[in-house]
Amino acid sequence: MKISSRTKISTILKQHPAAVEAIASISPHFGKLRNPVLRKLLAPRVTVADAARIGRCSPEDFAMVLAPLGFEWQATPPQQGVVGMAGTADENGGRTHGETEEPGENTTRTPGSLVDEGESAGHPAGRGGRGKEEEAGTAMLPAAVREGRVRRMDVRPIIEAGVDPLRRIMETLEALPPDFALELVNSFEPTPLVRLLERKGYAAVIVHGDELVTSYFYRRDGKRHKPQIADDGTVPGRDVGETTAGKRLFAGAKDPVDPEHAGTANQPVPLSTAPAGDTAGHGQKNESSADPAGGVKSMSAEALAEYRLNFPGHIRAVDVRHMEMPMPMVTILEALENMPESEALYVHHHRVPLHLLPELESRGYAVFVADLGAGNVKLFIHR
Amino acid sequence: MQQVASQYAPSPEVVVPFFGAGSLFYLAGCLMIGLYPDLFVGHYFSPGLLAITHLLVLGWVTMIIMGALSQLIPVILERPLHAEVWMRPVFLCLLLGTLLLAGSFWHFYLGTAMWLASVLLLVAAVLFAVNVFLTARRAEAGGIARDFILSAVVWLLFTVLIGVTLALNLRFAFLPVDHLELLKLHAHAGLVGWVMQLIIGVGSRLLPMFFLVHDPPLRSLQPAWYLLNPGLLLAIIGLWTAQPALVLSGALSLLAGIGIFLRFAVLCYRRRLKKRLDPGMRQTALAFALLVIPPALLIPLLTGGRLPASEENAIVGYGSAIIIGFFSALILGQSYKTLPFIVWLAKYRARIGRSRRVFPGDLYSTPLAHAQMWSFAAGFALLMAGIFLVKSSIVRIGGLGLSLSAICYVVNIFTIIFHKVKDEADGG
Repeated sequence: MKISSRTKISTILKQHPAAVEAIASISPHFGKLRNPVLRKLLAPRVTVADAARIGRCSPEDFAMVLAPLGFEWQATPPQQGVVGMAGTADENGGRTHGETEEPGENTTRTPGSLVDEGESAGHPAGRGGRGKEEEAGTAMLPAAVREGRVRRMDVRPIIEAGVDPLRRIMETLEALPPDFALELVNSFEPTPLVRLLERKGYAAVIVHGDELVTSYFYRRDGKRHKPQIADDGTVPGRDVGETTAGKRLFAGAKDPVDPEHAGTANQPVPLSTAPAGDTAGHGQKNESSADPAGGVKSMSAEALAEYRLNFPGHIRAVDVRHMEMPMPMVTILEALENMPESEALYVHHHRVPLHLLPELESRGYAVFVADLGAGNVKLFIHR
Repeated sequence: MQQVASQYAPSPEVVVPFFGAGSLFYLAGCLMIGLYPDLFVGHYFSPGLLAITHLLVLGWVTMIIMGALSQLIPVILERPLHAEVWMRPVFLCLLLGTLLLAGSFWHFYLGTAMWLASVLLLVAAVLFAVNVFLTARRAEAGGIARDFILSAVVWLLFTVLIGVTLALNLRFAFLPVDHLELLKLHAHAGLVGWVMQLIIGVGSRLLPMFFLVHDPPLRSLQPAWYLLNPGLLLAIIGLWTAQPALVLSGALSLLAGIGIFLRFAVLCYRRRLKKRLDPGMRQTALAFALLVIPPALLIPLLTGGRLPASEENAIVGYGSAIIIGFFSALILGQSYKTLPFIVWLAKYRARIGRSRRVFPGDLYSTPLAHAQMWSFAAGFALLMAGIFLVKSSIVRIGGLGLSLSAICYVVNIFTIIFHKVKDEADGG
């Protein structure tokens, strides 16, 4: 197998499980790959180049230790359509994302999930500054944060409770007074959320602590960004390369087996399970959830994410991927029966639940299914 | 946005008769082992053994497989069966055809009954095959499971056609090839081409589902298809042209393919998230342990290596290890995963979340399922011991053990089939 600095660590590990030990031998920082949970969480989100930066080594070190396992090193091919190189290392191990891609470009952006926590503590790594600060340090924090104009939100208990915190985050952001920032506390860097919010006109600064990651979000300008969906189910100004954001806003914590990860822009994810030309109606679905017209419909992951964002009621989340059948069906139906009609249920499933769908239909629910492939299906169910 | 077709599951009325009849055929087969143990210590080409073999491979193994497939194909191919209604004549033809064929073999009567049986079985196989192909024609889903199922169905047709030819040959002796070699050819087309391939295809989907394995190594199964099908073809040509080298290379290819599947099963078992196994999966695990016996016998049979008994006895042992060992153990286990689910789905789906929780596992007796497994294990071990020690008394005890397991199984299967929903005060 040929590898380059842009190859994902997960791709390497999938090809040859013994690569875990080989990579771990390069730097003690990579010892965490031995932990299966951390491996699942981190490996798909990190390229060789990222890992080299984190482990303070060179990509060639990877080439050297992986060669005996049959990996062939390739010089990194030139990137296409990239405006800015994301993820430049600073001396403290933190990173800045000084420049970002323009919407609509097929970009490769480095996710910011694997910053060495021990050494980068207290060093904020700013991102989304759109050409503003590039140096690390508290100077990067927006004036609102430095001056104490922040609303704090700890999403850990929300995620722990199995609820998707996206809706609450959006509500809090919408309700922020002018010149205030949202301080979001989490146990990992919410990379996809950052990317989504960047497109919605927010800037983000990420601070990695010993155990916590604090993300500050603030409006880049006075304008409010209202997402719209085109008839083909895509969001204007985005292309396949950018579709991963918003699909999995909280990558990691509740998605240990999720094959779709932040920063997979160089591995385009199929946009839609619906055939071309059969996507009319997304616009209406986005406008209001009060008229779902019932039935079961498949839609693109992107369209589902936007639909979810615009759902007016509370959204509960449930992950049934680790359940043996028929527990997924039982769990989902029981959750729906115990839920007020104004609410919706967001389900992480490992397959399209063929036996459940007719029952949901007969109970009068509107079901939106996004099959992302590789055992990753999202359902959004409401009255 | 695409409207998702929503009704895939067949009605239990389609599936249930196959399981009901299949369980009774299994019981009949086991009783016959206990009643006629001498058959298992003699030559494999005997009317009695032919009768019992066909009772088991058609009435038991094929019957349950066809029933289970009518439930599983819609899930695997993500399409409803092309014609659910065809499964009724398939069932009736298979049922009557098996009874007539087994009876004809038993009395070694090669007349009208045998012909009628052949026609009925041919109709069942063709109807079933056409139904599967028409279902698969427009289906895009299925992956490797679909490949195995489709090729298995082709081998089923081949097996039945060869069977009919053999029946003709028994009477008119027109084929220029040794009848016993043709019998081996027919048997392996059926056992490996039809049943084993089908087990691999369905297993590729069910093992990860029931062991709860995410991201199963499905791609590792692809070479198995390319080893099994050409390997089988090679072995068959070798048997037809009496070239042992071809037979051996074909057999090695088959064994390699089966080895790949065994490895897949072991990987699924090791990676399973569900650590504690229910009775169905425990028996499935036992079945896979038994899968190592047939290859261990086949290699010395083909290479003239050392056998624990005479060649005739070893061949009976080999066939028994496949049909009564691996196939039966697997079906006995998987029946607890498939049948209760479809009955439960039909009876409880509309009640979920609205009344007391009932699960598919509540539809049968777990102690009885455990008793079934242990009596099966003991019965099978004794049967094999009796065959290789050439002691019909041990075979008889083994047959009784197996009959006991079959009784437990039949009771549980019919408990599931006739399960009644208990109405509650809350209306359910």
